[in-house]
Amino acid sequence: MEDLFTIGNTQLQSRLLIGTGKFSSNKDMPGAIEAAAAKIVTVALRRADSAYEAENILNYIPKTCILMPNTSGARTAEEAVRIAHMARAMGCGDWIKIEVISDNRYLLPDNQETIKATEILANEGFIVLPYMSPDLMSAKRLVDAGAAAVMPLGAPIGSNRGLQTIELLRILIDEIDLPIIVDAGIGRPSEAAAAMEMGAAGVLVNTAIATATDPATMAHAFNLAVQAGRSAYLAGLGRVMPSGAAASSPLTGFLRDGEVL
Amino acid sequence: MEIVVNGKENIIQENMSLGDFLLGKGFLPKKVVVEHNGTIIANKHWYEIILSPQDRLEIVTFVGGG
Repeated sequence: MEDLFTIGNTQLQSRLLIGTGKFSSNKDMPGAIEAAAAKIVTVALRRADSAYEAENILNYIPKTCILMPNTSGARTAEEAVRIAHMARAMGCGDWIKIEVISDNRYLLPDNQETIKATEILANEGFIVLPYMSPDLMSAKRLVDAGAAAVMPLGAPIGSNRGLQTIELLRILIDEIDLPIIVDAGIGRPSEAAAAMEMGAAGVLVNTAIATATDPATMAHAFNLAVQAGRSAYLAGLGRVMPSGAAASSPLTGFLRDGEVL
Repeated sequence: MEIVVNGKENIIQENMSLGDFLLGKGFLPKKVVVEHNGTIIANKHWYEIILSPQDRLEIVTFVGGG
């Protein structure tokens, strides 16, 4: 049976989503996106004070990718909706990552405003992927609000601290019927693999790739890790013993006389 | 006359169209989205809007982001 990854009506070949922030040069982007084999690529929307500033980042993103603008900068649902409308007006599709943050220290998302924005934008036909703090009740409300997937954080944005919220992620994966895409905080491929092994549908990685010494090679490593983690999940992981050991080799036929172990 | 662009004051000629203003600054239709007094204006309508004093413009574009 094929392992399909579907968001809304779209089937995706890759479970690794990639962000385009923090690259030291736009020139590193195409190589990283290709090495990641990412299909969904996020961008942000900002003021352009000059034509030079409006130099097209789209030139660095392969045309085969699905663009997912985020509503970063929004502090409220209303601001997120405004940004989403402007993003859609760029004419690159209806996907939107809702990011509503009014906390500048930890950059933790405001679940309540995120739920409000999700409902409004889903009703307007956007394909909504909300970035949220992993709370089960909020996730259920996002499902009811019409989200196409749910994107809980592993750790604060840019922190590279991995799956700090692992217990809550596990609960969401077990209880929520939409794809769970772990977004934010994944700092290394092993952490991406760990998320996939738990049953996450995908991961979104930005900082760990963009700020690596060699972004393209790191993107490739993440690509492999996401595939490995997914395969392991499908293969059925063995049980973890709470204590003690269980021999891997036979307990009989030892090359000595005397009792068995 | 004065208009506000991306939060900053700009002095422009009277009776200038939005299209003339944007193209005069080198902005290309495919690369930006423009809001005029809170309403998004599609490219094809840029020349239909004549700017008035204290009009507020927001000119935005895609940039890298996570």
